[in-house]
Amino acid sequence: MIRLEHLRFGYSGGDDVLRLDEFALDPESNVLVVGPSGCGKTTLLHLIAGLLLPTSGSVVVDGQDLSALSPPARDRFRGRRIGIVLQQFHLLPTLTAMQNLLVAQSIAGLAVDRAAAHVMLTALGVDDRVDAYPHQLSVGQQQRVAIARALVNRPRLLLADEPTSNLDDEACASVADLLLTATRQHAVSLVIATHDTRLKTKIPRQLALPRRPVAVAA
Amino acid sequence: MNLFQLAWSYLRARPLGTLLNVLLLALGVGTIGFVLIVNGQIGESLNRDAQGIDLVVGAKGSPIQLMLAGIFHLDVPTGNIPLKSAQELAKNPLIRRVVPLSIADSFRGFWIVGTTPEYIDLYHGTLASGRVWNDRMQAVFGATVAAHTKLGVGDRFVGSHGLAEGGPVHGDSVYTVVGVLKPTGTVLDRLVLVNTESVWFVHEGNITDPEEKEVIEAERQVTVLLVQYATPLAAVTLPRKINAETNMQAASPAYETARLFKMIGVGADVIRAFGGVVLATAALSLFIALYHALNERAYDIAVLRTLGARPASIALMLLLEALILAVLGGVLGLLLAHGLAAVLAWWMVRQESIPINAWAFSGEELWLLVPSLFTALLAALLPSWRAAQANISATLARRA
Repeated sequence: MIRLEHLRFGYSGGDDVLRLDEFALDPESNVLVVGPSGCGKTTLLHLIAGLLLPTSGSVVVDGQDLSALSPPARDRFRGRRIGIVLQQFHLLPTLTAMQNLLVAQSIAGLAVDRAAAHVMLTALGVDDRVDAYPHQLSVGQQQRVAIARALVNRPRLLLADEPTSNLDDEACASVADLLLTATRQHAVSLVIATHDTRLKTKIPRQLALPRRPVAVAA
Repeated sequence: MNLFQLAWSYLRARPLGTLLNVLLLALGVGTIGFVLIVNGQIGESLNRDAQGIDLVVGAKGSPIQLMLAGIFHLDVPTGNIPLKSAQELAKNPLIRRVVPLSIADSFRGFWIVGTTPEYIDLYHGTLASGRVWNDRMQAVFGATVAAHTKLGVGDRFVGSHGLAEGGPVHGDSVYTVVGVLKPTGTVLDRLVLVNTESVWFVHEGNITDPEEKEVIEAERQVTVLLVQYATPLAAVTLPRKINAETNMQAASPAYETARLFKMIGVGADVIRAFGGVVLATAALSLFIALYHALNERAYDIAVLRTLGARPASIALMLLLEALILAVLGGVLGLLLAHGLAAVLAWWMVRQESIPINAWAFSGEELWLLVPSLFTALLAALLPSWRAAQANISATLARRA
């Protein structure tokens, strides 16, 4: 599902922020990206999502080398094949739960399919709140809607960035279970970037990023 | 849930800001539109009244006054001219037709005009009821006069000297209404028409002494002559000839109307400029709103990008917000312009001035949406561009 080779990423003029020689993830499998703060977990996630491009090396997702795509094609690829859950589970505040899913379909260039969106909201257990606005939803409900939105286009890969930070143990377990159940149900691979050690019990496979890579002597 | 609906959802989420921007745009468009509508309507109205009249001839004085009095009946005449000079002029081979007007009296604020039936033909007037006069002291009412005075065929009335109501009344000279004209949309609607002899009769009285009658008839006058040329060449020589060689004055309606418009045009320009200033304010307000939205919504925009939105779509979303405001503001502005024109029309009818049709919509008015759209586009350009350039990864990382 994901294949990373000789991956280097750094901002122009600076040292590499991230180095990763080799990593591969099979379809329908999960991995936890762990490491201390500032080690490049979020950067790695953005590279896999095509929001950033590597300085060198390649990112191949679902058989597609992301660097080979034009920027619009990369955006479209992300919209259709990759679901993303952010730390704040950010929903668009001016849209209802249902509309948050519909806008994801529309933006990815897919037909707006209200029934499919409803199925996904039902799967996440928030089908009774379809017409509620984000501020009318509890935090737990917002998380469920955000996960439903990330999955509504039937992506092959779900990326989650620190989904459980700031959550108590119970909520943390619940979110982790939601993510795992939902991805299993829909045959989606799951990558979670986190420093939350509580998740280690849920997802055995881990990709540990070292603290800032050392500059290579010339 | 397309970009348009998304843009609309953001506008709906901040109703006060949206309302302010729509109102500012509407005010700008409305002000400019008002000037255009009123200018257009007055121009059309004046053109209809001046149709077929190549030259106005009357007593010496201000040519604009002569035209205002002789054609539009909006001013008092410059004076009278001897009937003899008028008859002489009519013999000129360069002239096809002369319609004499004698203007002295009024009835309830409407001018009583002594003339010939040719005057009615000039405006293609037709009778709604009754007939044209065949003797003195018979009157034909224009449509507006009939509607205002609620008089009709068979009713009798007396004129008063001058235009002011309550002026000296010619009590012993009673007119009878013999006909009422259909509305023509011209000055004819606002006139009481009689034959020229009636005006003389009212002012001379019934003279029986033949010697005195001869003297008075020799001194008879008319007020204005409306002249139609026999050939366009007449325009070159005739006005100059009249102005130089007679004690009469000739004014060209086309030229004098243009001059008049140039004068009131300054006022119109001021109002238009005010509209422009309001539009500039609208542009600034819109720009601030969109720029603010850019910061406020940085994370929303980043989320949209993670959902697969390309930068162009994000820019388009902000542009659409501006365009929705522009169309709403533009349409509201058009309604406002017509509303203001309606108020002015109501006031002008009360003043018995030129009638304007405030609710005449024309396709050309859609051009008024252009300044509104242009304003919105201008305001949205930079925010849209910035939104498209935003570093999504950095925005997401900051919050994480």
